[in-house]
Amino acid sequence: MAPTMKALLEPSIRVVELGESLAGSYCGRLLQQLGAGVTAVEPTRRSRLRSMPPRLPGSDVSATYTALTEGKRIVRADFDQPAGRASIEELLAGADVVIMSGTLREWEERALSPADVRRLAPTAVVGRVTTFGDVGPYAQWAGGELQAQALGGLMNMIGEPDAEPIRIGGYPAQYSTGLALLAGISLGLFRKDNAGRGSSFSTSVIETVAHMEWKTAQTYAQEGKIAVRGWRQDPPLILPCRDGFFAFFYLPHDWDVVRKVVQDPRLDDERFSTQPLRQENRDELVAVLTEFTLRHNKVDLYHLTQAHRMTTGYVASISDLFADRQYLSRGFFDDVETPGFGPAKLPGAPWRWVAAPAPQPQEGQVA
Amino acid sequence: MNTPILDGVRVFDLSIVTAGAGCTQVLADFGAEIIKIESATKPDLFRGWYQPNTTEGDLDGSGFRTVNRNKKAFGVDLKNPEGLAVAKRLIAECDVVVENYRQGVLARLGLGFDELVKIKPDIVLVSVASQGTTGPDSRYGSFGSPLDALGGSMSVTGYDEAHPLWSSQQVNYPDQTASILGPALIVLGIRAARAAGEARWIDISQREIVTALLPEAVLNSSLGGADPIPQCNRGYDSLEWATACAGEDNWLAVSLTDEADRAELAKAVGAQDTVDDDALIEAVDRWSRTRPRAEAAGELQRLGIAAAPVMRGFELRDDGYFQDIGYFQTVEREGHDPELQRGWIVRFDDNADAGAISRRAPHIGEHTAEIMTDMLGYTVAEVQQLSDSGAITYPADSLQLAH
Repeated sequence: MAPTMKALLEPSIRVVELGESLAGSYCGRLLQQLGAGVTAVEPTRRSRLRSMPPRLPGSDVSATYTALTEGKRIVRADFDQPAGRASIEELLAGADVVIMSGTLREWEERALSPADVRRLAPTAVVGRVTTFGDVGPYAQWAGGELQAQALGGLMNMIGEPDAEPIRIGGYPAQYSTGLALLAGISLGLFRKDNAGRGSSFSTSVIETVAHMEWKTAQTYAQEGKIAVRGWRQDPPLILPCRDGFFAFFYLPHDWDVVRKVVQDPRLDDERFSTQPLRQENRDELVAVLTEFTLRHNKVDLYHLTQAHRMTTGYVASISDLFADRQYLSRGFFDDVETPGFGPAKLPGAPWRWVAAPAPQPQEGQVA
Repeated sequence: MNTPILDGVRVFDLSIVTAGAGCTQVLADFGAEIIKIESATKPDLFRGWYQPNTTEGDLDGSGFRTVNRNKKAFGVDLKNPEGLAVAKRLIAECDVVVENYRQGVLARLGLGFDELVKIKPDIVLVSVASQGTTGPDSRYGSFGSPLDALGGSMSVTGYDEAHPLWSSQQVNYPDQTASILGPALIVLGIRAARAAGEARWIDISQREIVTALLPEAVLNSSLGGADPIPQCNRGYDSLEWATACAGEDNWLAVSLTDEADRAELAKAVGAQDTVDDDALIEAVDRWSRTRPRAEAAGELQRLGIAAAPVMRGFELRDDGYFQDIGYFQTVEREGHDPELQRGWIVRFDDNADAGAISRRAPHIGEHTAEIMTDMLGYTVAEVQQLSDSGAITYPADSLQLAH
């Protein structure tokens, strides 16, 4: 029995997205993948999402918009137009979940505060997201992904100690906030089932970033120790190999396995015999290991080392992932049709489920 | 006061370190009863990680204390037949089993999905797995970080194409994303199982989450576009970088999205050349080097330019925004002053629905005796006998305390 199904929500669940943000739109996409019916309300002019880079190859069409709106119904309506207003209110009347993107002030200016939405959709779960919050010093700030990764503390820990701190590529802070929105919505739906009433919550991208980079605050709180970039460099090593890069991860107690896999007598040297010594002689160690990795392709190295139970990985480009045997076996990517661009792929749901029917009562037993 | 949202949900929690234990932290914050299963010989590895001190015994690890707050702990040796029998009695009282073992371990313990369904017909089993529970590489191990590489995130992160980087051990992005999506799927799994009156097994692939968070990159590459590469702090089509400010290791993250931004910024920092990226960056660097990062951010924000200080995680404790929303939570500690821990995954408007922390992380087996006697109905003599045989464990005086 293997998990293969993806829809965990009943198809009758109706989701409405109001306002535009990457976090809100990604959350809507997850709900669509979970089986809900999702309607995104889009302004008739100047859609922020439609301008989010990158563009589809050789075009002006936003790849981000195209990916995030897959499988959704799009309703173009303006809050300040009577007809638009009416259609939005009609959508809200039937909504189980409402995702609102934007600050309280922005929604009050549109005369559609979260309280108004609660009135129009009294049993709905209303989740609202901002980038920098409603209150505090950043509420009115300009900025996006980079500023959120900076303010929430994430960037500070990534990169080399003496160089510029760097972001994680793409939109990880905003999409992770979409995951947090989904967590809130799931809790709200659970309560709706049990208590029969709606609820509302909010979050911000910088809060989610702080939630992800929580260890630095925690460490400092306890020990007064200040984490800096690169302070826990050992033992992960990122080494070049024949066709790219390899994440050579080993635990200190795996050292004998490393020696067995690499089979280079220089690794038997006293200088590499303990983890502190390997850290001290890191440059020489890297040189020996790199001679080994450069003789192999990254995927071969990955299977070779994992066969010895080393917890390694190969640095996969996006195209590498389309050919990855594990993703192929699990059918991870969804085939989609992109109007005007033809067949394409999107990441599928990163979860699966399977049911086990309850055992039937035996004859003579009371169920 | 309202009842907590997850009141009445009980979890048999085999999860360890962050990817799994962080999921159940969120459930615990919202009122679920989380029973953390460990044995005296194989406790959660995380108990001794992250700047452990040496004064709190099995609560030395500061990271452990955060992701295990609000949980109870039950000490049982699942490889001991009597211990396994006790565990099965406990599972019968639970709604959910959460695990993030290497694939195959749970089934070998005799607690695979088919077995769990026999014990509790509407159980929800949640496997937070590196690469999912199926497929040729499902038994490959990881400690989060290699999944940055395997999920595609490293191919877009780093100083340049020749220097891909992972999110660091400190951040461990693939563990964090799993611990945010996980609680959502667990709660939806309980809903679905209750509605259908049948069991659910939910498989979560941490690696797939990393790739799922790169949808536009996947779409573009599948249409023949060039694969994205690491390009330091640049966005997909904007000039973005971190510029050094006054003091040591202080930085300002700047983004320029259009020509108007460039012109404003050039004027503000006295740059002659607004066309050449390097010349503009150099001029900004000269300008920022003498300014504190908060001041520099404020000056540029007044001009409508996206700029923010690169904050250190611990500085958020004194940050205006995080103070205004009451983000950090005070948690009691044994023999030490209380500590601040991260707050809730989201904030419910009705305060009574928001999370609450009622207890610090537990010692190994801290609640074994009380669960054995009060929930499972074992007699004190039986508990003592099972402890003597090594099937269960609890701190020396806790059986007396339970009775």
